[in-house]
Amino acid sequence: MRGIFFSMIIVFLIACLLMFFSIQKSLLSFYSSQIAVENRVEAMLSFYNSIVRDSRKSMEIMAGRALCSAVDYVVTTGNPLQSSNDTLAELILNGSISGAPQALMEGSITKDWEDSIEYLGSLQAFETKVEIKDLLIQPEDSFHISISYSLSVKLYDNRIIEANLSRTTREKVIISIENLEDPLYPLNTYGRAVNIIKLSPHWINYSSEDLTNLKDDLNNSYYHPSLYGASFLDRLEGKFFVQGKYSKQNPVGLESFVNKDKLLSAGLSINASATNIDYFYFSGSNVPAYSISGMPTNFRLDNETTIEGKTHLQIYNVTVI
Amino acid sequence: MGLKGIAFTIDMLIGLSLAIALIPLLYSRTESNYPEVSFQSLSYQANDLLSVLTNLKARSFSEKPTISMLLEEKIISEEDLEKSLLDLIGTFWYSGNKTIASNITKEVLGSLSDKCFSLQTQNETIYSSCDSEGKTMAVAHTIESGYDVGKPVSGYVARAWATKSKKNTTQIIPFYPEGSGWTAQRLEVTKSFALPTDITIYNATLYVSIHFGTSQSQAQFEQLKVNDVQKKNDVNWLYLQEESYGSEITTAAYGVVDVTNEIRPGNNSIYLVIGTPNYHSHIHPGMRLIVTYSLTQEASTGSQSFKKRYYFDNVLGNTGAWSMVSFYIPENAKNASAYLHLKALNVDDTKNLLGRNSSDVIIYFNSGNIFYKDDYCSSSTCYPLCSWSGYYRNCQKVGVMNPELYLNLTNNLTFGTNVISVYLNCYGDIHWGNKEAIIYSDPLNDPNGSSYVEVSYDLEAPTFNYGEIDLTKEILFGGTASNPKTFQFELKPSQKNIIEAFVHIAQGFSSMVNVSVNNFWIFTSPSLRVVPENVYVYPNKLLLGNNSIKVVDFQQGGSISDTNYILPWSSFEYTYLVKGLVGYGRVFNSSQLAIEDAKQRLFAQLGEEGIMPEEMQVDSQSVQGVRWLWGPALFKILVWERE
Repeated sequence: MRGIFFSMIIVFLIACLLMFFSIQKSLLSFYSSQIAVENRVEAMLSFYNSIVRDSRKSMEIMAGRALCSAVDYVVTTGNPLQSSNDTLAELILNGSISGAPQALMEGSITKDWEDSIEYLGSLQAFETKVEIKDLLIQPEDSFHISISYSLSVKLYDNRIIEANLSRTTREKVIISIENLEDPLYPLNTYGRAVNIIKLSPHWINYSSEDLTNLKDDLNNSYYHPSLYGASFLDRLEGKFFVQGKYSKQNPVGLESFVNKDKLLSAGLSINASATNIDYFYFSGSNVPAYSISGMPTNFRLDNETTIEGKTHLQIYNVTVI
Repeated sequence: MGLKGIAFTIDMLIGLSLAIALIPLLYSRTESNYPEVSFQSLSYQANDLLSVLTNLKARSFSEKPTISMLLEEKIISEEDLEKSLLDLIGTFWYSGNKTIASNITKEVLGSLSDKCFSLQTQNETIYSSCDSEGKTMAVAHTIESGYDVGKPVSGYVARAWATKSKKNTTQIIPFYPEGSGWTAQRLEVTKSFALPTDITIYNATLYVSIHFGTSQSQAQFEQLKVNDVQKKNDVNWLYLQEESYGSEITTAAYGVVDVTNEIRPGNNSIYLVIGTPNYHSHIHPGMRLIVTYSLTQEASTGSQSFKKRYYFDNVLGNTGAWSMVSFYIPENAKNASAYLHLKALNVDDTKNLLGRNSSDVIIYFNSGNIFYKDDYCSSSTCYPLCSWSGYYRNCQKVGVMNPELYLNLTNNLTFGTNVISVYLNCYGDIHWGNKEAIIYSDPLNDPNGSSYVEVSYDLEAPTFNYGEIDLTKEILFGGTASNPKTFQFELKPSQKNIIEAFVHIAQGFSSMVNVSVNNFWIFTSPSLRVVPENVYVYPNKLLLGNNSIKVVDFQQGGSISDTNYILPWSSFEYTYLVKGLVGYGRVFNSSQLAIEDAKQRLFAQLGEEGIMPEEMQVDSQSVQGVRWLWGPALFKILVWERE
């Protein structure tokens, strides 16, 4: 009897063991399929995140080319843009200015990027629909432009698992305007003078004893932030001062010293008694301008407010003769 | 029994222990049937590594040896540190700096994972931490625009513009219809004009259109001096037309003479003396000098305010003198004004049979009605009431005048062609007075004392912008002499920006003309013999492609003239703008290549209009860092267990 009893215990324990293995196996199987679903969903999420991230990178590329195209249009035709932010949006979305295709935007507009993404999505078995629209372009600060846009992404997986992801977000990128041409120079010099926008390496380090930095800024016509000088978007419109539509709490304007000697060497007549601040010089504003001790004889500075509540004479730390 | 029970129990427990000890082995065997489970931890690692690459900026790893070295050597800037690590790696990889891309990957990811990993893009391995591949590999991937195999990441664009260009252009110096030398008396005309001083003259052709002599053989063609060089025997007469009126025979002649060697940059003069035994010698429509020269032009913008003087030729007539000057006002001109300064010499002051002062100075302006007369006229034709013989009226001469007039023409201006006719001691086919009368003009030596029309007007926009070069060309009508005459011509797309255009009518005998372009009326003579040397053509009436000009000579009554032909040497002159600059072109891998491309495009553009590269002074500007929207490229991180 005892033998039978112990045998039954053994059988019972073995049965329990087998049951445990069976349950564990089915649990593992379920867990594995769950992981497969999770991996697929994660792949979808990862692809979505890639799209969002790449939209910003692509927008930076497209915007860079659009800025070049806009500058090219202005300096080539001599006609300023009517509304530079709208024109830049047209360039990014359609690759055109007033309907005329621009060569630099060929293959570099939102539609091209959207098509590429949709193709890549199809390679990963996702039905993909992406769209960039509602561009809002404005100055971010003196040397940057911000572009915000609506990004709509729809991903649908009906081959591996039934899942979809649909989301619309508002993204924003900041584009530097450094190394672009300043349209104001050619527009006001019959196309003969060119100036590339570069932030002064000396900003805001000017000494009244040592004028080396100031002279370097003059020789290279480096750019400085300005409260009233036209922003880059204003300059594309041929404007000399910041317009209300582009102004912000922080300064967005630009100013550089017009190098009168370079204008002379380009065969242009100069106004030797006018301030060298570009937006005043080109606009012909009749602001009082002062000779500066230690600077070239045709260099003048006005005493108008520029930034941080200081005037040009104060910010550049100069002594009037 | 008790021992047996204990033995069974111990046996059972040993068996059970053995069974329990087997569980982990069974578990591990089962697990190997479901790689997703082991794969998951690898996958987490792959995603984490990818997150590091995509989410962290290069600045976070600026202390790593390679990035630090790149910063020190200024290969990358502070701005580049704002890029994501993946962007930085991708930029170096696709721009050909593969070792740098590989080193950055190794330095950044190598310290973050003890597993094997590999960063790949487009089937190329940027860096792999292990030589061998694992049995189970987790993959995380992302996309990155701006990259493609064998394609540059960014490049340069450039534009170029001609600061100076040497252009071949044509200048037409017209002679006005003017006279007169009566019955073998001489008509002397002196045209003084200035060409630009810094030009090279390639060709100068003088077309001569005169009414002289009785026939070819009896021509009274006395002088044709170009800068004091006698050229009268060099004229090649292209067209001679004799007409008789009773016993009176006269000839209209049209000829051409090459004066290339005589015309020079700067001041020039042409002196013409003709006569006719029994009628009235004068210059006919279409006499003009055409000079083709090259001119070095600096890029500049067109003016918006214009003030031009149209000088009369110096006309010495016997008896009487007349001349007709035309000028134009563009259709979009504002604030247009004009005045006539007339300086006349040796004008006979005459009285008619009734002892009344005759009008010896008569001026018409844009009308058949008299604009100015200095005294009494019996009719609108203003012939004095004196005894006559043929074309001559024998009026009583009471003195000699040197009248100088300033007449405001502003109120009678019209858009398009304006014509002013000055008559001294004559009108039409009638003359009076004793001897010479002079319309004085010496614009080179006495510009303000000469006779001229001064015209002023403003335009809302400059006629041309910076970077644009104006070129003038002339096309002869060709064909045969006829009336009416229709001339058809084609304008190329590169000639679309026409800012000025004129029809120069060449005629033998003439009366009045009507001119239309593309069936649009542009000019009708207001009175007899008013055939202007320049008929202004509204540029907006010209079309790209085919155009036509129709000129009709008609009589005062309106009928088409039978024998007044429009000659084949009539011409169409037009001035159009060519862009002397090109914008950004394709993106190149270097600034030098971009600039070279820009210059070549500029040379090609201007070369089509006859401006050679060696004749241009070119400036250029390149812009760097124009990125391509290649791809997106696929970047993959693979992670697997070390063996």
